[in-house]
Amino acid sequence: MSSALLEQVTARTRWRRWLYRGLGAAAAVGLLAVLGVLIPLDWVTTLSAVFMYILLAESWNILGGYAGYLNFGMVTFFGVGAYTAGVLCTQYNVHPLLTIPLAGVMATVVALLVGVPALRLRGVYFAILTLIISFLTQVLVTNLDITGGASGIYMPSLPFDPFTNEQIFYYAFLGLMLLAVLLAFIIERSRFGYALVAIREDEDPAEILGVHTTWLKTQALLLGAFLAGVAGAIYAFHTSYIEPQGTFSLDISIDVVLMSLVGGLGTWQGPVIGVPLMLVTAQVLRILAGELPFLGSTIPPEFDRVVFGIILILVALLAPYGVMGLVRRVRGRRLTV
Amino acid sequence: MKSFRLFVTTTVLLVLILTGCSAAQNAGSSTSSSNGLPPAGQPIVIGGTLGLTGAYAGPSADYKATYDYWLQQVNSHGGLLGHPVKMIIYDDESNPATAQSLYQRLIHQDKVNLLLSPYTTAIGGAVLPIAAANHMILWNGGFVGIKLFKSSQWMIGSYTYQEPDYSRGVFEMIDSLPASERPTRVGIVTEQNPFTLAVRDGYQGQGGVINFAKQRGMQIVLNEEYPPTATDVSGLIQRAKAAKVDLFFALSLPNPAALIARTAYSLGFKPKIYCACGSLVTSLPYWAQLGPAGEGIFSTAMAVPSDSYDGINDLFTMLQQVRHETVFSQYAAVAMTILQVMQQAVEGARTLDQQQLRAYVLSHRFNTVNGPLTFDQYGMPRYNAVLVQYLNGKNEVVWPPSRATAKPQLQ
Repeated sequence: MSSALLEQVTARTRWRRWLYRGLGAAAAVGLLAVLGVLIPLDWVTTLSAVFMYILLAESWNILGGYAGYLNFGMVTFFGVGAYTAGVLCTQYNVHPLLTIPLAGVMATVVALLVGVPALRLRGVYFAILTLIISFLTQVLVTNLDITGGASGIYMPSLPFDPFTNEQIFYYAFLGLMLLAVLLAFIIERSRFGYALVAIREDEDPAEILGVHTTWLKTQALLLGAFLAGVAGAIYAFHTSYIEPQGTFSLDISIDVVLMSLVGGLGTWQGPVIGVPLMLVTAQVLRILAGELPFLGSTIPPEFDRVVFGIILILVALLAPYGVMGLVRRVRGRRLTV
Repeated sequence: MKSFRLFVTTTVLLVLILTGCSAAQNAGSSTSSSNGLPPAGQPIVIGGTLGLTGAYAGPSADYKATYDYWLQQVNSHGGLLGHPVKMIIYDDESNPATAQSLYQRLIHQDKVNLLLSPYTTAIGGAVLPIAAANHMILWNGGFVGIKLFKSSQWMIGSYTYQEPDYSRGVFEMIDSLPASERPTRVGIVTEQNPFTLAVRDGYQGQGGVINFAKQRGMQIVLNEEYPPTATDVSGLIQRAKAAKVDLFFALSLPNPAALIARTAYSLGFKPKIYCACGSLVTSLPYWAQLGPAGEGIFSTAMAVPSDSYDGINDLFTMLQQVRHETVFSQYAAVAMTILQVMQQAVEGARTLDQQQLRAYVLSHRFNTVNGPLTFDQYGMPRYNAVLVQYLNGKNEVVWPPSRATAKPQLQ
């Protein structure tokens, strides 16, 4: 009797917790949707970039965070997506909306070609191979006629006023970001997610216990590549001009890793915390530079780099598992699954 | 429950802060008249970005010094149309996406009246659609780009040549040589960059090193590209040597240009004519540090102090004092030129209306540090350039003869 009552109370508590979580998520989505029409246009652009990076970081997190494979090649899939949209739209007159899923598919195909051999490697060898693939892709795109070589591709503009244009990209990135966060949330609680964590914790025993490690890692890579490809396609239309140096910049890959690290690797909340923390701080510091007094002059433009350096040092020293690790430590929970 | 409340409170605060900022900024800026001028006593606001950090920090520093100098000059002379002038220059970190966000801010939050372009085509190409969508002129002293000029009605430039004409002076100078002295074997090494590739290839069959050379019956014996991150170009130079190149074009941005010049010198490659025809490189302060490796190299320039154009010597004096530059920076020249054109247009048209300003610019002549300028229908200044040769530690004009300060010295 007491056991049934206990079960009933537990079920009710769990149900209530999920209700609060659902309400919280709905409120967050609603507020972000409202922000798109309330806030100044430059913040709409900045938040679009925040959503895009959360999308990329969540995509990276599937293999990099849960499975612990340090992938420095995220920009490859992002760039392939951008260029697929650019080439299809400008040279084959494919409708822009159709180019976006096709960009995701093309990035997935590239991930499959790259992933099958790469995922047989582990640790530092895998990380170095992903770096090499990034550079190779950049060189290839720079030298192909179809991609416009180093001259790049000018994308068609949307035929709307500036506010509508920016809001379209804001909501496109917001929608995709929510999808990616939801996906990460589900993965974290699925057998797929547990298997990835098992790979991260110790791959050999996981394999002995029946986890199909190579296939699971490939699936994680393909999923992340598809999302990154879609993000790249939307970015191409947003930025209006793509060229290999910027679109395949290694900075994008490094930023994605750092932002995930700051937020907390292997958690769906990590990118959601790390990306805004880094990007919004950068934008605020950029605006403040030149306005606030500093030693008889104004804050120098390099100031934001110093602040980021300090943030990274503090994270490394005080919160090696990122902000989420800190939160869990404060709550007294275990750091890892 | 606690975390839910915390989340809601934080988000509501965020909304209030962001919308509050917007309201405050919107309330702070207003224009009172149909010609777009602010109320009496209120400043005219000019805004833009530069890559003050990152890959383009070097050239951007010349732009910033020139902007500050012009601002101080114009305000000490009573401002523009009686209004003080305020200038907002953000650091775009040499990144197109960052620049886009900052231009949105300049237009919609800072409510700038006049918009300056960033430095270089890769960044400028990304912000031009934003200026155009907001029907604002991009006053462009930052980059060339014939394709961009011809595709937009919202740009006024100050570079007095576009990519296809960049090497024109070299070939015109060669035409003036006796037939026996003219080079015949052309070698081209091109940085993989939109600007330098267009310098090589021209635009729609017009101009460009390859077309100019072919029109003169020259043989192109080397035509190679290299990445902007190249750290060793000795292979390229060895091939140029082996191909007996006597007219050599290094189409580069600043850093690789120095690398190529140094490598050519150390490998003993001495073509009859060596043009560092890429991005006004011999006018940059670092060129003097190349020593003998930088000597004798040709380049294109728009204006040099010997031209005595409007304000050029004062600008050079400022650069010597503030930036400790010994060679007159062409980046400073184009930065000053676009500000002079903008100033004269605003004062002449007595308006900040963008359409009227554009119409004024296209129909008038402007006195600048780059000489007297007129503009074509696309907002590009008419061609006006000189060929310089770096001799004894300074740039001497060697073409055209009417502006020459020295005779060209062939190897």
